[in-house]
Amino acid sequence: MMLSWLNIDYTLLLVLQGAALLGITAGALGSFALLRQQSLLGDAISHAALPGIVLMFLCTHSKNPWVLLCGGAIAGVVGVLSMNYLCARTTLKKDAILGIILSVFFGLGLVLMTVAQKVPTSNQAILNKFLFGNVATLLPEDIVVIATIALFIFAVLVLCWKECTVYVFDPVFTHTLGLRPVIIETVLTVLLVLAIVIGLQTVGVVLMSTMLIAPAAAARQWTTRLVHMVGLAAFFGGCAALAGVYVSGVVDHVPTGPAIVVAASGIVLFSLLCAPQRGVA
Amino acid sequence: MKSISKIPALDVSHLTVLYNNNPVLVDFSVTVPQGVMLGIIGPNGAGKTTLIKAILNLIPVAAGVVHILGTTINNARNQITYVPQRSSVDWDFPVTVFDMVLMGCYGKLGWFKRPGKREHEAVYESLAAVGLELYAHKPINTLSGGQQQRAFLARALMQDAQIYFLDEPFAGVDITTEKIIITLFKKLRDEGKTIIVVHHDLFTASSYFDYVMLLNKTCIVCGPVGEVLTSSYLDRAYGASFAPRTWNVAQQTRDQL
Repeated sequence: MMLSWLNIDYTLLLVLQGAALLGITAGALGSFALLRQQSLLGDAISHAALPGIVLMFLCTHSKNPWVLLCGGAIAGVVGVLSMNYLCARTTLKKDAILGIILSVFFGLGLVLMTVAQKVPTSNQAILNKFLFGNVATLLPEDIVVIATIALFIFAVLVLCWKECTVYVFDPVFTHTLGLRPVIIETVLTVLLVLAIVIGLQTVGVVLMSTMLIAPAAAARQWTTRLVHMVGLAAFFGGCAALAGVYVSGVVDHVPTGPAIVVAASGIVLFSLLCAPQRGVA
Repeated sequence: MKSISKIPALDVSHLTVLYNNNPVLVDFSVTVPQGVMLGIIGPNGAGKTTLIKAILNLIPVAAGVVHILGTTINNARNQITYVPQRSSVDWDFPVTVFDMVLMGCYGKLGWFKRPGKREHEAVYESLAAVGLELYAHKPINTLSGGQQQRAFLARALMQDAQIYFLDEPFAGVDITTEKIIITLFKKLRDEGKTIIVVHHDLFTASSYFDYVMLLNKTCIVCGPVGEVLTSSYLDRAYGASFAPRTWNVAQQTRDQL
């Protein structure tokens, strides 16, 4: 009854579920990225996914978003590997490498998109939704896939909690403990790519990094323990997603992805100003 | 005192380490017996930190072999602990002192296993050993420099290791911390452990350590502190013009005290 009072119909409920799952997952994983001082890694990966999505479309002509997102995930991993390679083989600094990978892959993606426009099929409209996201097109089966991936991510995080925390805090010490840093790094990166994959449909390539950084940055303001930070970031991410979807659902002509991002930014602003001890106000 | 086995704590032979194709350590060989408090001393850029990192297999080596307690580092991981320089981590990280010290047991626990009651009790014991028991549930960003160093040491104690490698544990710490660290080192040594410390200050070396290694790109000498800290060896480590004069001043200052 309350749902009808809030003007929530079945479609909106579906979208709320999908967005909330994304917000929760991205918030939790973003905490690790933020603390590793790799906030922009997520941005680079999500931009790097675009050419993979378009290439997958060119190869399969599929309009199933998950087929295309497989291509996106592969391209995201290629992006990370390219960054690692450049980091090891050149004297370029990390921020420069992130910038290069982000813009080269994204540029390639945009070029491929114009190629895809000329393909004689009517499915290419689906590609546009990966730029800024379009939750309104989520189907019940999409929610199942998103929920499965989110569950997997949280299961791995719980299982490897101790390894991930010690690695993020002190990678060198982790090495001397005999835990292999390469494995932990790979686990964290794969989880990050998965979280980005479920976010590309919802908020899109361009705005995805906000979903990783904003909830984590806000949560850091309120707590001094990692487990609380991850929980709070998940909560903030979920709230921002719900608020954004709800506003775009009941107000005409407000796009969902940007509305979510604005809501997340509001939480960050409030936390930066008002959090006890760490707030500026 | 525990009887100490004849196997050397550390045996390095012909170690060469390059950084960007420049040699940092060249044909470095040394043997360190068990049960000593060893200070690794040398001028800036002599390769002290590089030596520790190469021994612990944290950086690639160009040539040479390292044995710890007669075996390779990877087989001896549970026998060693490493206390990095304080500045190597972000002290604004959201963990409590308790959480951070608990990390010391993660290696022994292995993948996926969770610390239990025994590990939690060990954390309080380690914190008591460094005088931080009252700080257990404070966030690490509330610690002073000396307290940070002691928290690092408590984390190392959790590993119950045979050999302790420490990188500049005395840099920028208060007198209380200095005394606590030295007392702890002596206690560990008397239990038969080996303490290997990178130390930048030549002049405090003889009061802190019973063994000293002088290095400058290669090992100049390693032995009991009285035999090593002589002007001829110091000349070779620090250059003839610097060492004797400064060393004499330091000796005189100490005699006056």
